[in-house]
Amino acid sequence: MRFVRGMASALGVSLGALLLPVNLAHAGGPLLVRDNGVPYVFSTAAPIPYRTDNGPLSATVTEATARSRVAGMFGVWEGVTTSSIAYARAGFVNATVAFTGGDVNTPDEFDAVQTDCGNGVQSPIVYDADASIFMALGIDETSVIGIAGPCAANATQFITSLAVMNGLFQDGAAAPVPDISTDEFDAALIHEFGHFSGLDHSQINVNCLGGCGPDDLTGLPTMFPVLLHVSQKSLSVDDIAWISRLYPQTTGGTTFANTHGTIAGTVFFSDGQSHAAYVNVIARPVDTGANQDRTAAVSVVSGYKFRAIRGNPINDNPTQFPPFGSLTPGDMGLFEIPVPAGSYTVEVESIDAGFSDGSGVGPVQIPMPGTAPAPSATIVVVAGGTNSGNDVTLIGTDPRFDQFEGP
Amino acid sequence: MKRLLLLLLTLAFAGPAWAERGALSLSRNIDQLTSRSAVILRGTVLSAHVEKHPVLTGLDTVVVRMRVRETLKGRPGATYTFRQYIWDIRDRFDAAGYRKGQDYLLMMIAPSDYGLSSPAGLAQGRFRILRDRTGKELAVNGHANLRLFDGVSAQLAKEGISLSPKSSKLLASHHVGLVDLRELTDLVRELAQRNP
Repeated sequence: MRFVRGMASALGVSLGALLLPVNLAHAGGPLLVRDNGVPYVFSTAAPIPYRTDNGPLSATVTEATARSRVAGMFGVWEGVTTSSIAYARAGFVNATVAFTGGDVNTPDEFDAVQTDCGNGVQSPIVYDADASIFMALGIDETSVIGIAGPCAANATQFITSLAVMNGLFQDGAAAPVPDISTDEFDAALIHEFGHFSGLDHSQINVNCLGGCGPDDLTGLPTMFPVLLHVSQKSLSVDDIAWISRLYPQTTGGTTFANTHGTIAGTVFFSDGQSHAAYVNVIARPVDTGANQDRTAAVSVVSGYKFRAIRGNPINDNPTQFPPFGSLTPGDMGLFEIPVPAGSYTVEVESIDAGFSDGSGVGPVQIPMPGTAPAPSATIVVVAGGTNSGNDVTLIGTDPRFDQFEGP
Repeated sequence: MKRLLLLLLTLAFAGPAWAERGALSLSRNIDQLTSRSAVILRGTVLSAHVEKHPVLTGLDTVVVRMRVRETLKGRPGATYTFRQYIWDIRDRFDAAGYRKGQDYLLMMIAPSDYGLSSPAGLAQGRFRILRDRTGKELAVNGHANLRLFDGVSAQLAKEGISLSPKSSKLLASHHVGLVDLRELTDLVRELAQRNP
């Protein structure tokens, strides 16, 4: 393991001169947060039930093989010992009024199955063997590998999720699109199953977009917005920490509470009073010499559980405003990072300008104002404890218009 | 070390796969995006609202109406309306991020039999248009323009096609991040001529 004595990333500085509009997406860590600040999750009273398509994944991947691979993809998340999340295949996709069972392979059948998912009836995994469903849906079948996400929730929990896999990338044919490897395809869907389970993207080692060394690659989360390397098929410390935070294992010898603690604080503008939301905060483990470990970090976005202004500001339908996130002023710049017990430094950076819209990290995308301070002094986290008050004040941000803008 | 680097290269994705709101797509370069698009336009969002599909009534869609300022491929007319399927629960609340008044360069695939369409490569074919403090217009897609120009020069050379010096310079110099909108649209026009 290589340790690097480093400074916080200066990302965002070059964008400081741009007048970027607020962009809309949702939170790093949990995908959605309730109005009381508690993340949406599935119930863990029983394993999350899912149903698989009763047809082949592609011309060369049988239903039985696909079923086994899907179980393996869910198994990656289920294998986290500090998390209680579990999944169970409940059988083939259920027949509905307009779908009589078998292979889901027409737009009408998909519509029926999606309706069922939206009504909280079943969580289907659909194999689009020839991409005819993607094409009917007007989705570019030559580039999209798969789609997934929760499709129904009640006031407190997710109820159902959906995933669709594009078999063209696994059909052994060079046209219309060349295959990607089994590992690449599965890595993509493991990422999607993270969304299926309620996780959002994480930005760690973003320098890898421009090329990076092996330590940085190792630290790339599966939930990083880009799959750059097959190593992302395996969960990173960040993925493990967050799935465990959302679904903590509370029984047995290895629990979330006896392995992980929390680093908490608030990001402020330069005045040290106004909360700064949507700044990426990264906790990196350090050794006794305060040398950073690039392979094992955990991140969150400040204000991750605060309600983002995600509705269309000049919306045709003013009811289309998000019901997600708390309105507690103290949550606006708050960060809470679940980490394995140990010693850490905390650093902040801007969310990368390219992580916009669907690839977004955090409730909205705006460049971080001002400049990041140097990483914090060493913070010691004990299992089951919270090391709070690790506030970060940005350097050189614009002043407030008046004192009433403070939280 | 050499062996390690070789291993890393072996394990790297041929083209990185980008996560979008509940989707993963392979990187496509500007030539591939241009070829895949039926309509390429620069315009402003006049309206965007979420509604159920009229036929596939279980599906949520966002209907976006654009004022067309510039046409680079196809014949979208003065206003262009498209209906995009949305599956992510969050898209229902923010019209998939399309906001009235926002300028975009959109590279749209042809509508399906059900009237559904979306940008080529999803976020890859959807460029937000921004202005810096000097008023210069810049464009960035949902993949930070990463690898947007990779392989284009080689492909064109193979076909014996040469681009204008300005476009050639753009292809050679850009790696990631914002790109001058005018240079991008000039390049797209040249590429679109190969596959009108």
